[in-house]
Amino acid sequence: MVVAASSFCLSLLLVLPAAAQQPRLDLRAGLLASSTLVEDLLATPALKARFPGLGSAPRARAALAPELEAGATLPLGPRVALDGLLGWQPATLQATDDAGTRDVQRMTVLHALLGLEFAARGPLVVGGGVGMIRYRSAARGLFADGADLAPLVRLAAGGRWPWSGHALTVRALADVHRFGSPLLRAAGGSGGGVFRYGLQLGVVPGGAR
Amino acid sequence: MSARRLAGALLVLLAACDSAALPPRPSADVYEFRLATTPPRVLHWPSGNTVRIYVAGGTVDGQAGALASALAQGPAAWNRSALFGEYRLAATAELAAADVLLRWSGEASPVDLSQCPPGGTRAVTTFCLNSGRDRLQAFPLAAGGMSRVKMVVTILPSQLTIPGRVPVLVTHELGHVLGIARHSDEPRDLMYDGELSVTLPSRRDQATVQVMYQTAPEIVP
Ligand SMILES: [Zn+2]
Repeated sequence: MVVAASSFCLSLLLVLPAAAQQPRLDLRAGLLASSTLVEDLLATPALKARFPGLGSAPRARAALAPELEAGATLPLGPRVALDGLLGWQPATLQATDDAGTRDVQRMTVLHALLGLEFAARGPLVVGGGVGMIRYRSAARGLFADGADLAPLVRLAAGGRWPWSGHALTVRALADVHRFGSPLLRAAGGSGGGVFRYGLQLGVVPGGAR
Repeated sequence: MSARRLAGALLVLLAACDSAALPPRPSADVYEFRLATTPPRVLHWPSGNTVRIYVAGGTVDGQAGALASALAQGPAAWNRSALFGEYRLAATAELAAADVLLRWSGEASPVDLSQCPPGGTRAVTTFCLNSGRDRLQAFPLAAGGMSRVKMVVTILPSQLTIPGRVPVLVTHELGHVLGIARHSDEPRDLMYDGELSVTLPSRRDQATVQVMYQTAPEIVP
């Protein structure tokens, strides 16, 4: 599906006539939460029988953290724009098990995204995009052998309002992406999906339309 | 692509989105780690703890730097297994901050070992249980007052004559420091109680420490 969506966007870029308008800077800042990144299914019934105090599966996720995106938006018509964005989120990997929740290590989540946004009714905008995402962190624990570059799909909806010649935006967004790493594979584990979601405020300088 | 289609695509993706997972550890990969009391009891540091190790390098030529260089490898080898931040082993240059003392036998110790003298042969990890048998006692400072040292790792200086032996012994003892209070019966494990043929924690050593730290401790340093 990700490949199909990417092909759709690329072909759109190729066949569309030269845009009537110039690309404009697009700046966004948000607060994003995340579903579980990795779960450890370590306890078998046999192990629980041997060690009665053995707890449930520990899991790790990115804690709620701010996120910045910068890129360009190119109007393709009166109601549709093409967005290209680079995103940066400094986050903390948090683990939860029977002993509680604790911070494990700092990480940086980087992504690149190519998307389309449509003006629906009034200030309402909806959009989606595809891209790639990578988690970077010190080489220890779950990140001992790094992490994969993984595909990302985004869906967003919100509003866009003119203000003093600029455009101000508010978006609720949901990202779905894969997470995998050499350590997971070496341990016989599997990559999996992550759901990242949150709110963004943005501005397109000079972008009122 | 309409908003409805995009939402549908996202829902399909979500439905196929189990999170990444590490597999269960086979029971055969986990050896007994509990202290050999009756009944056996789980001993480990509180989850999320950083265990700080102070090196008393000794005064004899050739010994002074050997423990410190061994400690440059051992903590990292074990820290790799702490996937969820369950523990962290780290060296400290300050005795006042140390939870663990690493020393040569026969050398003066900065903590008073008279209550719980180290025995053993090549290397040994020593600690004192309190009267309730649920905590470890801190060792008194040799100069008076209390330290926060709860475990002492003692290495026999004669091991220094065997190339590569001291780092392996120190890494093995750090397994005991983490709470592995028994030995593996598999020679390919670092926690084997015999001639060690490996230098790093094996898959079974890793599985054992991971299961141990997900098991509620009954004795906490
Ligand atoms: Zn031992």
